[in-house]
Amino acid sequence: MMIQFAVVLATFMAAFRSGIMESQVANVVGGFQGYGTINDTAFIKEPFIDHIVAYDDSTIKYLESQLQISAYSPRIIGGGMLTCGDKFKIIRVTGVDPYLENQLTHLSSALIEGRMMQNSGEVVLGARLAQRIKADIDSTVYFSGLGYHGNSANMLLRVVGIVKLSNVEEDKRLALISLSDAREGFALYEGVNQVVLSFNDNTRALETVNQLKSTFTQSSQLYAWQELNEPLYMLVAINDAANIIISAMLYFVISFGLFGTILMMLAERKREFGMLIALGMQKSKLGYIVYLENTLLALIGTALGFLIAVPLIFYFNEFPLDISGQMAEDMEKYGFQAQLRTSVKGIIFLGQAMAILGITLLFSSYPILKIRSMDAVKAMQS
Amino acid sequence: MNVVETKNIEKVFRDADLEVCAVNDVSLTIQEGEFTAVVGPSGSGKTTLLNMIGGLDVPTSGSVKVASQELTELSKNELINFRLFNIGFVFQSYNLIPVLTAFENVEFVMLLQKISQKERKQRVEELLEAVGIPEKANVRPAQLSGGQQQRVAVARALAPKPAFIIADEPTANLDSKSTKILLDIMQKLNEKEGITFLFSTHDQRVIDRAKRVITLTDGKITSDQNMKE
Ligand SMILES: Nc1ncnc2c1ncn2[C@@H]1O[C@H](COP(=O)(O)OP(=O)(O)OP(=O)(O)O)[C@@H](O)[C@H]1O
Ligand SMILES: [Mg+2]
Repeated sequence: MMIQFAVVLATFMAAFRSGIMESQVANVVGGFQGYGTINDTAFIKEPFIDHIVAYDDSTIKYLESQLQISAYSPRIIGGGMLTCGDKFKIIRVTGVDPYLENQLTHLSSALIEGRMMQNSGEVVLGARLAQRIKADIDSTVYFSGLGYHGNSANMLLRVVGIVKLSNVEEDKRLALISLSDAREGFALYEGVNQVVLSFNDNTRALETVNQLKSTFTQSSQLYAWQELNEPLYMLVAINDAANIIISAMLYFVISFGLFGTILMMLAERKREFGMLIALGMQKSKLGYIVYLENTLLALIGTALGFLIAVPLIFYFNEFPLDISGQMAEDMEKYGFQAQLRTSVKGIIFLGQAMAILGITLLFSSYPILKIRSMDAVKAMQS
Repeated sequence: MNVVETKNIEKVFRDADLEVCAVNDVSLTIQEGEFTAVVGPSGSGKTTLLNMIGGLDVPTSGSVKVASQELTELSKNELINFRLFNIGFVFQSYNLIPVLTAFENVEFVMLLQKISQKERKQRVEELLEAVGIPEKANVRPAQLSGGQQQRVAVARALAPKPAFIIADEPTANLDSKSTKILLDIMQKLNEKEGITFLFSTHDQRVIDRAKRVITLTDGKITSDQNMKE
C-alpha cells in the first residue's frame, strides 16, 4: 500500500515537473525561436537588420548535407511600425521562405484564419497583433521601418492569414512576409539575418551544435537555443536541480515509510520467527524467505503503482490541465503557457522505478540482519 | 535406552551484577517411553532446564546428551539442525504460524527436512487423525480453539519422528476439558506408540497423570518419584 502510493506520487510529480519545463521549451524554442541558429554574434545582443550572415549556395549545400539537421529556415528580420487604419504597433517583420519555414515551425497548422502567403505583397499576422491593430483578412496594413544600411523600408501589405502562436510575446509581434518581399523591402540583396535550425534530436541541441561547429566554416555564428535564450536555459537548469532536490526529499520520506513498515512487520512477527528458529529452521533460510517476501511485495507494489500512474501521466500529456483566471494571465505575461502537462519521457518512469526499487531492496535486507542475531527463546517470550 | 542424559548442568543468568542460578547442578536421565513431568514453583527453573535439554539454550557448565549426541559440542547452526531432526516442541502458546492451515503447520517441519510430498501428505493425515482433528486440516489457527491449536502443535511435534517431545506448560492456557483431551491424546501416544514425553506443569490434574514426577526447587532436584500404581 505504502509502496504503491510512493510510486504514484514520485512518478506523477516528476512527470509534471519535467512536463511543464518541456512544454515551455517546446513552446518558446520550438514555436518560433528555433533549437539552433546561425547568426552574427552582434545580432544576439541587438537584433538589427545590418547584422547579417552569408546565405549562399555553399551554406545551403552545407545545411542540406548535415544529417543531424532536420530543417532550416532563413529569415530576414526588420523592426518598424505597422499601421492599420488609425492603429499602430512597433513590431518586427520577418521575411521567410514559406516552404522552408513551414518545414521547421509548421506555422500553417497554427493558422486560425486565411492561408499562408503565396504572392508578393501578402502578410500573415499573429492573432494578438491582429487584434491589437484591428486587422482582419484582406485588411491593408502599412509597414515603415529601417532597411539595410540606412535605407528606409516602406511596404504596403495585404493580410491573407492569421496564426495563433502559443508563445504570447512572439504572437504579439509576428508579421510574416515572403523572403523575396523582404529582400526588396529592406534592400537586403544578399545574406540573411538568421538561419533557424531544427535537429533530429532537439533535446540534444547543445551537443549537436557543438558537433556541427567542427565542420561549419563560420563556427562562431552557430548557436544552440541555450546560448540564445539564457533566462529560459537557466530556468530549465534550476528546474532540473529542484527536481533532484524534491526527488531526494521524496525518497527520504518514502524511505522512512518503508523502514517503518519493515520495523512493524519485524515486531509483529518476532514470535513467529522465534518459533520457526526453535523448531529447527536455519536463520539464513528464514532471512532469505523474509527477504524474498519483502522484495516480492515491493515489486508488486511498484508495479501496481505504475499501473495507476502511467495511464494518468499519458492522459495529462494528451489532455493537459488548463489554468484559468489571474494565474493564467500571470503565466502568459512571463511567456509561459497556462497549461499543466506531464512529460512521458521514459527516463522519468525508469528513474523513479529504479530509485524506489533500490530503496526497497536496501531496506528489505534489514530483517536478515535482525534475524541473524535473533535469540529464539527471547523472541518467543516477547 | 537413554534419550536424555544431563550431568551436573548449571545455568547462571547475569543481569546487571545480579547473578541468578536458575538451574543448579542437575543430573538426570530420561529413558525411551517415559511420560515425565517437571514440577515446581514459579521461578524454580523448569523452563530453563527444558530449554537446555531441548537445545534452545546452552548450560553455563555441565553436559547435555540427547540421543547420544553431546549438545554442548554443537555449533549454533548444527544445534538448530539437531532440533529439527531430533526434538519435538510444544510451546505454551503461539505454536502455530497464523497464515498456514493446520495441515500446512504440521507439514512445515517435514518440508524443512526435505521429505517427499507424498510421504508428507500421508503422515500429516495420520497425525491429525491421531490427535483427533482430521476435519480441521484446512482451517487456520485463528479458527481453532486453544485446545485444538495445542493438538495441532502435538501433531507437528510428532511429524519429524523425534527422539522425544518437550512441552513447557502445554496446558497452561487451556480449560479443564481441553486439558483432559490433550492429556488423553498424549497418554495414548505414549502408551500405544511409545512416544517419550517430557513436560512441565503447575496443574495438579496433569501431575496426577505423569508416570514420573521430577520436582525442582530453586534450580535443584528435590524429589524424583516413579508414580506406577
Ligand atoms: N533470560 C533470563 N535472564 C535472567 N534471568 C532469567 C532468565 N530466564 C529465567 N531467569 C530467571 O531464572 C529463574 C528460573 O526461571 P524459569 O523461567 O526457568 O522458571 P520456571 O520454573 O519456568 O517458572 P514459571 O513456572 O513461572 O514458568 C527465575 O528466577 C528467572 O527470573
Ligand atoms: Mg516456565
